[in-house]
Amino acid sequence: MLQYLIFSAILFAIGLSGLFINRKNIIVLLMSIEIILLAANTNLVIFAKYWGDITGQAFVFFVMTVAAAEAAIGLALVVLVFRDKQTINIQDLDQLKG
Amino acid sequence: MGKANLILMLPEIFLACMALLVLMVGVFWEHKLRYITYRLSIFTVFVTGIFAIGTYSESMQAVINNSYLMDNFSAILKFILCILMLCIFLYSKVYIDIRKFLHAEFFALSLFSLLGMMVLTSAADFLTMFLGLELFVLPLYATIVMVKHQGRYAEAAIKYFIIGSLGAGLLLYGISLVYGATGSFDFSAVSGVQDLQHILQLGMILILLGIALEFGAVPFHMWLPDVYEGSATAVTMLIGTLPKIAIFAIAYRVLSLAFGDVALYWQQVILILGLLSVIIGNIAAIAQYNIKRMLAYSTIGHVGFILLGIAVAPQQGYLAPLFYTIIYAFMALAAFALIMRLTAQGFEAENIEDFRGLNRHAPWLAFLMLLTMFALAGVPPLVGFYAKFLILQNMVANGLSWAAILALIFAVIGTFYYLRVVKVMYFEEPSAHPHAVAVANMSFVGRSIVFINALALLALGVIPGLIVDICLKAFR
Repeated sequence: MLQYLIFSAILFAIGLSGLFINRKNIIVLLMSIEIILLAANTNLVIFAKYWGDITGQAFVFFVMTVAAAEAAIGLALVVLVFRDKQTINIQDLDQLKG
Repeated sequence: MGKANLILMLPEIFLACMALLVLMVGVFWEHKLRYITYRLSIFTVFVTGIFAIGTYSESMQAVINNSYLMDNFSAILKFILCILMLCIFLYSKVYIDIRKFLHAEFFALSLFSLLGMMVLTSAADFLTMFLGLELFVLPLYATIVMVKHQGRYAEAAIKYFIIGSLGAGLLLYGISLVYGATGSFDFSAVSGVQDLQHILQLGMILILLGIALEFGAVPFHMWLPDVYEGSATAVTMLIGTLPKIAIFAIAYRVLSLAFGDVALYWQQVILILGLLSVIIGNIAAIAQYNIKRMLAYSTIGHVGFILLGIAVAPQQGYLAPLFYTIIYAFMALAAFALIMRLTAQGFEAENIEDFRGLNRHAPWLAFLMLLTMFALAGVPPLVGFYAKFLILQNMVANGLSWAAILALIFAVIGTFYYLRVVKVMYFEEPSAHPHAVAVANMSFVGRSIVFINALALLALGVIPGLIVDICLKAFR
């Protein structure tokens, strides 16, 4: 079981570092967020197996639904940003500062 | 799960149905009957509020396998959320016309967000909590861009979206770890565990970080100023008031029901986050010339005070932070409504300079703004003072005098930027810019309610007992 947990921890770390290190592309940020949610999903499934409890697996379905909704809104926002600025580079999002 | 149980969820069920109805009516009839979605939304929030206070009862009841709690706390908070939402709708009726918002979508999304917050106040397990949180933040991201010409709004929305999703991700990962340690999603299952294994400890910290992030506490505060500045004032008003109450509610539920027995592990963390927020929020606000940005940093300072109250709550009770949260929501509501009063076609009152010499043109408006600023600063006869006083009293009673003194010093430093607004309004010559006061930018009802709202800050300061009573009832 430990190796599965390490796997999900690595996924989580990849997601987080993708959010913090990435300085270019908004789509990559969206992907990183999805990876974080996936890491949590993996954890939930592993623990559901460990406890012999079905609730954890049911939770995963809810999370997947939420992730889909989040991706829909996120991509819609990316389209808006692109329409406004003709770029989806993070560095160009600098109108709001202070 | 019988029939009697579901009746308890009537406010939420009604609100969900009506939000869908508003969306549909907006699609088919909006171009024929102007303002129909507005009227329908007002009606919805009004009735939901009545249903919500109707669930107030002496006993605590759980619905759907103990995942949904109905008690006095949730009934009162839902009622307050409905009042705030009603005020926001009434205030922004004309404003969203001027700014060319998409009516039906704006109202429907706000209603969905309200639904999420109401779910959040009743959450009794991690699944309900996660779904409630997502249901309330996802519509907010979209509300920011529900305008004909998005421009810079899109930037604010995407920043809010990325940070909010990060918060949800941290929270979810924390939940999965807590589930691994206990094998259940119930808050009550966690409280049975006495000694914290590492995995539970890590899960708890991640959940706390997720909540702090949605709150806007200091290491995770950078989204707040950008979002406040980058959204239209009606949306800023929405983001700045209701979510604070909802997040406080979930913090209360998680920390008292799930992690109440292991308070020693999280009190220090919350205390440090609170102190940092008070310090950085108040200092950074001094440097701001955009009033919405200034209010965003002041929000961070106020969130710091709420967190300080929560940090000593296991010993002193949650009364003081609840009182502070409710009062803060109404103070912020008044502040943003008054900023909205100064807007006009193609002109947004954004800089503190825009308030220059307001006293000449509109003495009443200037006076109301003065009351609101004094209340936010915590000047004695106003209600903000009593809220701060309760928190500081709790901290001293808990032996944290040094932290109380530190918080007090920075609250006093914070007075500077509130007073600057007052100075600009009263002691400076009007600028060349004409004030937009004469423009009809708010309906008559809205104007009267702003008036009542700001004066109530004074009245409640003289008799704070009213709200304290309500807060006391919430915990009975």
